[in-house]
Amino acid sequence: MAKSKRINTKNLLLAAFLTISLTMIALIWVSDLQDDASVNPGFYRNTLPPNEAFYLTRTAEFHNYELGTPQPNEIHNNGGGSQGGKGNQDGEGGQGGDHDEDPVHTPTPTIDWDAQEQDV
Amino acid sequence: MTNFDQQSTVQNKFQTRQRRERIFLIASILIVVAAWFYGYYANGIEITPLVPDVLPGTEYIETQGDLFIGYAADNTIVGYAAAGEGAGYSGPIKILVGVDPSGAITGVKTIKQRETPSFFRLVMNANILADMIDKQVSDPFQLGEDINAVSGATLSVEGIAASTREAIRIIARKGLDQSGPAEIFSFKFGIPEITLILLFAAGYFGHKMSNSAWKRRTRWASLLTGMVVLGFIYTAPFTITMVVSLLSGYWPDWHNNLYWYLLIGGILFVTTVNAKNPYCHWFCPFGAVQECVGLITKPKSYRPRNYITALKWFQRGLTLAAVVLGLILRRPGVAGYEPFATLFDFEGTGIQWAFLALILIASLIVYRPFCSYLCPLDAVVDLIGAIRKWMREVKRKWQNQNV
Repeated sequence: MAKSKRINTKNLLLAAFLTISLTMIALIWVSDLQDDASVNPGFYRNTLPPNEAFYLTRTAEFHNYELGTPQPNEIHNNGGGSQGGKGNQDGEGGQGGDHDEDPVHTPTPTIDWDAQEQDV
Repeated sequence: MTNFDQQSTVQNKFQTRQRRERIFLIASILIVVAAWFYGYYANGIEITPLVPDVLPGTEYIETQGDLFIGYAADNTIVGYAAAGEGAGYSGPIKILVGVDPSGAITGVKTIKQRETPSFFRLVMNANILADMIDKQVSDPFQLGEDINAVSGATLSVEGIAASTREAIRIIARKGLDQSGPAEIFSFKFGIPEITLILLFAAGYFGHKMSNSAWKRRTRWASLLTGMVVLGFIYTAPFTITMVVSLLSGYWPDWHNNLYWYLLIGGILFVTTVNAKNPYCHWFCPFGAVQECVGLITKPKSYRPRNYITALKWFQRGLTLAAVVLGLILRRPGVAGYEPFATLFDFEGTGIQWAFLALILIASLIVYRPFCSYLCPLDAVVDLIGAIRKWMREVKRKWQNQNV
């Protein structure tokens, strides 16, 4: 009787140990997944302040284009994501960037200057 | 019931148990394979949107193969960026590096890393990445030269250094017309590797000793050596992280990670060929710590007969969950739940310290509680043993059929 009571106590302690261990292991996994060190850190020089004039210039050019004024010979993109290539010295525009692959930034429409020139 | 009936009943029970274990074995392998494929296809990363982070002032980006060129608003080149990959402790580390036209580093960002968070925190706290800002592409970026080592996280730092070197080589050759840092494959064979080989030898020959007193002394010498050298000095015990890294295909460069291959290869080889696992009983650092604690009360092993199977399935289930988690997320470091870094490096969260304390207290009551109920290596060795036994049966049946 005493022996079986002792065995039951040991089994209960073992069950408690396993339950607590399992709970702790689950918490360790959750903690590791949420750990700040899991987030990929980065370090860089102080970011330069944005050039506000650039944005005004882009807007003005776009507006002037619609009115039929001379077109710029390079493609620029104010937004993020992969961009079109620079135009070469002969004034041909580069290819538009492939925004479909950019999951982060909203695609900014590019202007295909060559196609527009042909239409004119 | 006659003797024959009793034997028949026992035989039936054995066969039922064997069939159940084989079904579990096949199911486990299928689950692991499914987790592998899921992790492989679910973990891609788009690099381009991250480039402005390492090239401050970039307004738009041009891509030329694996080189990214950042342009400012006035169409001047802000700099060049590229991503490099190196082998860390738990898997590949991918770093994106930005360099200005003068060859100075403007930004460094980890794109992908699979390290155990506590080890990676050590690296970040040591400012390894931050110290790279304003270094030149002509610098060597070698551990021990211009990159400081971090005790307990050497492999993580080596992985960061290797991936940075690769990124800078791409930028230097394609953007700046320079050669960039050389890749030097130095063969590392030192105290940890020699100690490991000697411990494997001690385990292999030691368990064959007939003199029990000398066998006990050899075992204790081997355990204490494992605990001090592999545990406290080098923090290099076997963990489930290594198994997940192996299955994920994250095999480090053998030149400077020979220890990794010796440890995992040695355990798998001896277990497969000899059905014995010298690591656990002869030089596991954490097993040695539990036995040292147990010297105070001299506890006995406790595996109640009625619950032996349940305890075995519990251990296997825990190991399977760890492997699947690591494979799905492709983060071997997260799969590891053993409190080794907490004990040997004094590095861990509150819950990890509490878990370690629980095991050490339990070591006063039961012989090696972590090894008996929670260690994933037991389940891995079980799995290898089961596959080995099955293959031998198949071979025997095939030979009998041919005869």
